[in-house]
Amino acid sequence: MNETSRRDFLKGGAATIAGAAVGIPLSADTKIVTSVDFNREKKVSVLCRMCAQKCPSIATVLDDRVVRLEPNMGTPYGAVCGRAAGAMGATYDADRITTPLIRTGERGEGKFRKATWDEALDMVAEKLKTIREEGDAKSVAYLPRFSAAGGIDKGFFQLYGTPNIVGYGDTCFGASLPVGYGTVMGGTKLSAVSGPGTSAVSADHEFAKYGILMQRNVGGALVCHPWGKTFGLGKKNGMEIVVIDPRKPSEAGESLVDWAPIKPGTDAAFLLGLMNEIFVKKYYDEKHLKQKTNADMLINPETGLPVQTQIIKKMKKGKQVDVEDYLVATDSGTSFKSKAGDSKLLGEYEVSVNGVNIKCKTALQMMMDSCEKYTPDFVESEAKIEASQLRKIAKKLNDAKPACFIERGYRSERYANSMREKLLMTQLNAILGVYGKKGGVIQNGKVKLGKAIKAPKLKEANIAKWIVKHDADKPLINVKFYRRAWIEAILKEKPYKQRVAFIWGQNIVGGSVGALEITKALKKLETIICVSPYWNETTMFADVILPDATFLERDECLNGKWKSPLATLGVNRKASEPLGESKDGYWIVNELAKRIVTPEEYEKHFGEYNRRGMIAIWEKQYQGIHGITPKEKASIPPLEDILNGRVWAGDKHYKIKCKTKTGKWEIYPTSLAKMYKELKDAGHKDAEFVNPLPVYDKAEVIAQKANLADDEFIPITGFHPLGTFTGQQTKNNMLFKLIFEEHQADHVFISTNRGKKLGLKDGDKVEIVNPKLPEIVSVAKVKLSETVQDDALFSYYGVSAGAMNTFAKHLSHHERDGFNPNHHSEFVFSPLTAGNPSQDFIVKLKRRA
Amino acid sequence: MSVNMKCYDTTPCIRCFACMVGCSAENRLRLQRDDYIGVEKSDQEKMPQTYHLTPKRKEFGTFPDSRQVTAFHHCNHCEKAPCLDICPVDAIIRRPGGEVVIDHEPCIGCSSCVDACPFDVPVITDGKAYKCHGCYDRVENGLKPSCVNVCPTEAMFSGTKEEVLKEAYKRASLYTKVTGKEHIVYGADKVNDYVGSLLWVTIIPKEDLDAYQLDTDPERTVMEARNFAKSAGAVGAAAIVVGSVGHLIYWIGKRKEKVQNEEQNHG
Repeated sequence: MNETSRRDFLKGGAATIAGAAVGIPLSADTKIVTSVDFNREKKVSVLCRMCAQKCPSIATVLDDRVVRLEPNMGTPYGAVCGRAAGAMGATYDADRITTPLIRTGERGEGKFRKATWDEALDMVAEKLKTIREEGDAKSVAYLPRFSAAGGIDKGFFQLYGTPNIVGYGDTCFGASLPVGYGTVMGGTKLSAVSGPGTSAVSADHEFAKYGILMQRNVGGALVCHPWGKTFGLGKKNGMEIVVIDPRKPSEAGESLVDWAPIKPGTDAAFLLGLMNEIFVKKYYDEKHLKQKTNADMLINPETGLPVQTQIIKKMKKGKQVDVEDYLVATDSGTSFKSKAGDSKLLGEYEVSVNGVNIKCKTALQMMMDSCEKYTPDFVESEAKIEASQLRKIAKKLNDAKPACFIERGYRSERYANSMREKLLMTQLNAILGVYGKKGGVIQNGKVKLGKAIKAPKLKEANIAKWIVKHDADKPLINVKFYRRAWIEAILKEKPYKQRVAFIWGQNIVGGSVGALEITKALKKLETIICVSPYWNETTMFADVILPDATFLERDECLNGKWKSPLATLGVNRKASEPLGESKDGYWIVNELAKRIVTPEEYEKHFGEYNRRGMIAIWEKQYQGIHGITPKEKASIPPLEDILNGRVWAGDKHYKIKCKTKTGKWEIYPTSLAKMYKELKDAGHKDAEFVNPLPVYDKAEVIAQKANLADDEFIPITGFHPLGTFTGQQTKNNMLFKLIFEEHQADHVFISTNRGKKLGLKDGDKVEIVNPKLPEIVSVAKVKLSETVQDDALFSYYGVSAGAMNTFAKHLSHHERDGFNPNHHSEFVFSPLTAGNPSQDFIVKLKRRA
Repeated sequence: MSVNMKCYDTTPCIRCFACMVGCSAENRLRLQRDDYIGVEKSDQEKMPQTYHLTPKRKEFGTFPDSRQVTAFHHCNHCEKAPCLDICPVDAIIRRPGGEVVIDHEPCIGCSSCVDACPFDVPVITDGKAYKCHGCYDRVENGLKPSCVNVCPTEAMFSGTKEEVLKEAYKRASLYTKVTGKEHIVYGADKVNDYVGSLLWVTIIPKEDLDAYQLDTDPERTVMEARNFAKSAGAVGAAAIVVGSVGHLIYWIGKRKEKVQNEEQNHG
């Protein structure tokens, strides 16, 4: 090999030009010196946390600074995106919070003074300890995010005694996705849902022939490992794509990619039209529907419920389980499914149940009847997608099935009817038979790990569990992810008063619907603690800010959960020392535990960690590994190998889990049917949202106004490939600046047509207001584009500061203008799921005077 | 040593910009190592000169037959590199692997390469010209160029010219079959007499050559001053050797005058 270095090449030139001293002298036995390796680097295996997805990566460290992040190719889908490549810009951001801070101004003002760790921790601990001694631990809420001390943080707060560990997923993946998926595939208990969110399944892009992207642009590169990678490999293998989106994203491809510029808020209309076309053209496989789904289930149209069921025993994985058997029609009359030979998929039948004659229909017949009116012409008028394009899409799905998919969306809490959209996507994928198939949609694997802290179970239910029982408008609330319902609990002081928020990494003000009301709730609290290395809207309200280390600066617990079909096990190792006085999260939790819980509790749960460090956690996790096949378990390497950076991956299984009572993919969701009947009988205003039949529940913006006025728009968002959820790692990042500027990523984008009508041109400053909350005004630069649908006002999510931009004064490299829809929305919930309707409102736009 | 080639395939690209950020990060590291910048500055300034691969996004068509296209702007490591020919101080050389590289020691920041490059690639910052060097230091040590290294989807790939062309033609023919639109490997064959073939090739639908801003006839009038520049170049180089700054300035002034005259004649 020809061994060369740029240092050789440049000789002494560098020092001369810079007028600086010559670099560090190299010892005589130095072998090869290149920009890749000066012989002083170390390589550390990390899991990238520039977004939440922990893509396995390798950090190169020079003089205790990470200087490069690249994919860990020791895993089958090794890949990182641009965010990872620029992680250094976030970690060594000069504006990072690096000392504990204590508030000096009003909440929201963003005025703080520096404090020592002892002062800050003592202040926090005293408050928490007092409340615990008063027996009011439940009034303390813990709001964690991925940056918290995984493996011990939740255990600590449970030990402390609060049931309120409040996830943020209700704004993202935790509300409509679990209901829309779980009602068809099982795995959730209706009422108190905590089931499969974004992590449940993956599209098998790599081998797919055709796919529909909606509500998520896989190319946006979040979940680069494996989704971004498999999507690219799919394209390389000839996969064709249609994008259903009011704005054409470049990330899905720029040449020969079909685009259906849908009107914002009408995704359900499109999906209903697609279902209708699939039914009319018989683009389904009869044998598949009879075998795998409950399409042949006989339903009583009066009640919407199965006309007759019975419980039978079946053997499953060596265990006897109860299965719900249901009546079907056959050539020789009706029979229970378990006894029936060939069943009827369509038709109307009369059945005698307990001496009463009931006219019933097959589930598929009822779905077809319900769908009949959602013709391609209906889609054209409602969703503004041409009928011919819809027909083409349906045909392409049919030609490709089962090697095709309809994406399920991401950060997909957008409209009142988001649950309906998720349900329709699941039903369509099930009807097309793509689940568990090569090129279709498959189950993700995960490695389940042992628990480091086993805190005693709490008697008291959390706020969401109370809501399930007592709030008739939120029976489908997710009992793990309910941060906006928690805000409502603060405002209403129901079911009990909330006094302290311990917010770790979450940005509830910038990241969820109804920011104004949320800030009012925060102001009601006695104490707010934020743990964060980055400034955001929420830190402005903190009484104490504890600066934690970033992922590159700390060891983390083992990780066994990725959004990958391959069960994967890996760990993030510390690459460089925390900046300034910031401390790693495990240290912070340990210090709080020392100060708050009793010495006996501390010894029992933290003693070993305190003495031995992370290894105490890793060993417990490793010893408890389960949830993978025996063959896979046998291939797990020793803990030392994992700690040394090896990322283990299991096998790819073409399978899908189905946990319904009937054991079938319930394209007619019986659990919803029951709830629908109950709500309807009770006269509930939102009952139609859980109608088990394919019906069109409208988004609030569509129901309110079919046609927008000249100055009215529906705000839509998408991820910039270098942006993230609340943008904390990317907003002030100098490695991304050039590309953000080239893309005018802080602008709002509207159609050229609408812009011209308003007399606007590129770069004009506009004011954006939600007429229902006129006191909140955003100022942004506008860009006119032919790639945005007329009704839409597009902005990149989490890129610009928005209306509540006080935090931006702490960021040297960040504009204070721009638009964040969350700052403008009212504090409202999606019906029944208590979801986060983030784009379900109208804004007015005018040129800034 | 065999000739190295890089390929950008527009089809699997997810426009995540890992290549561009990765390129800048690697060049920041080089500057840091070579003591141009300290470790602090390395992550805290924009430093456009460290991005040797930049996006040029343009919008095409009218709604709904519209789209944005992100052209990749970078050095093509031309077979007949005009920058290399015109450089008055011979600061631009070709590595054994074919990479066209600017040596910052002799470079005087005179902009000759900027004028000669038909793809508008070199940028001048603080008196030095910057452009892609093909990560020759990495490649000559058995590693992939930085942009290829971080690409998540194999949209960027590299290797010997033979390997890369074989894969590129295979992909192009699959895309042609699947989409019914002819896909080509731009730069694999001679583009024109001015640049010859390229060592950074691109797989695109043929109809999208313009959209991706890939020039089928890259030219620069300045090269008509080529003979002058070449001979003047020797003078320039001599100027550095003897350290005669006055002489150098005189030469640059004369050269600019000549170029302006040429451009006026063609304008």
